[in-house]
Amino acid sequence: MTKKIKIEENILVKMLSDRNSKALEILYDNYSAAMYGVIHRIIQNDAVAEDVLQEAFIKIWNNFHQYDALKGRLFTWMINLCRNLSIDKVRSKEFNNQRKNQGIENAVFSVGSGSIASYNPDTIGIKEIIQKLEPEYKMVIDLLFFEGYSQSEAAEKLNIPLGTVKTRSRAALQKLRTLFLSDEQLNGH
Amino acid sequence: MDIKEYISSGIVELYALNSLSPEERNEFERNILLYPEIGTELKKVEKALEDYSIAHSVNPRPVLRSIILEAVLSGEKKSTNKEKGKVIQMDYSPTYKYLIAASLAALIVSTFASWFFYSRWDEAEQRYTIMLNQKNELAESYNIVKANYDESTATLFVMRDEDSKVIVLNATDTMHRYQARVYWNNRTHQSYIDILSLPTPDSGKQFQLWALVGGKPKDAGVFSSQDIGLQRLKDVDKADMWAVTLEPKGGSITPTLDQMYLISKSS
Repeated sequence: MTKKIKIEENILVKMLSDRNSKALEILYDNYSAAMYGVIHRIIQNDAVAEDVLQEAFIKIWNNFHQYDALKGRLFTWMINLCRNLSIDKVRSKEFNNQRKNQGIENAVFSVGSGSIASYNPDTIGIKEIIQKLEPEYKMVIDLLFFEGYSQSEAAEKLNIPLGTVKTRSRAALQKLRTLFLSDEQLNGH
Repeated sequence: MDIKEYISSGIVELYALNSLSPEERNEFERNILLYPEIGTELKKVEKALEDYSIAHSVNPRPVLRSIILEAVLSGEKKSTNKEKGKVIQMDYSPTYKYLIAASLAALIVSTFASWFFYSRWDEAEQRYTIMLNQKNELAESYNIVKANYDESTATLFVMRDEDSKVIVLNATDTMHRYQARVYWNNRTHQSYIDILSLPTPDSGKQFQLWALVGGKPKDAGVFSSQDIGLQRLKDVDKADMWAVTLEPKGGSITPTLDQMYLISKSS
């Protein structure tokens, strides 16, 4: 496995703006596992997920000028790009034709169940943390984050009021923040 | 605007989750520029979601690194598929559509061609069978003609021989017009009989030719009264008279004189 290189985000952004191919390698080595994890979590098919990962890197490289540091972090921008590509793929006619009628329910509730071959050993601790998240919080986050549901779709899906989707997603992310924060303090990051 | 309340409404989280409507998102992005607290909060939420993403990390196959980096830098999409047989776009590729259409067209054409040539072959096969039968019939009739010809040639050969003598045998009983001829060769001693008219004998009976030398009868063989043409009988060294008697089947050693049907004049 390639070692992750510690680099300040603003420096990496500058290198990417300059189309420095070294930056592309750093980007791949630091983020490909997380990106592929998100893509695979949504697509649930190795071959298609690999294609989408490639597509994502091509888009990040070619459309880097669209990234606005004022509107958010680089990694968030990349992850959102992966999510959008994957969700578009999953919703495309082409993908649905080849997909074995796997219901959306399965996709939502199969979190953590092992359809994925190899987990990143670096993230084993973090994986345990998300197990501490309450199921009703997790469901909201997963629907919005991995399935690309709108608030109203999620409300309908979970049979809860629209306002509750908002409050639950806030509560869920607050919980995640405290969980991750305590983990970082514990491990001295 | 109460910023604290705005932040605690969950709007920051929904923005980070990309679940806001376009109007809400535009409004939120305007607010970030106006209120730095929102941006600070957003960064925290995004960090949590990044951690959440990292928690789902899966290492892509190592080979993908070089494939993807090369694809990005060359600007061309590369195949990431493991097996060539597993090309997923197959159903949608126009090339395959044309190939399938072309092979279907070829199938139809070859089916018609097969049917056409089969019927032509079947027709030829039938004609061949008819001609084969005709050939066999012709061969058979040729054999008959050939046999007749050989017999006639042989007969002619016997008759034309300068050493052949023709002896006419007439009925002993003048009431009947029975008659036969004996061809006897003085040099080769071969004898033949040519029946012109004789009755059909009872079963168990057979006509027999006798050669007489000085009044003594000598067996010259039995024969069928119904055969047409020359019948070769036994060789006879010498004869001055010829006679035919009716004898039990297989012939007798001495002639049954009261059953004499034909006799020649003495030579």
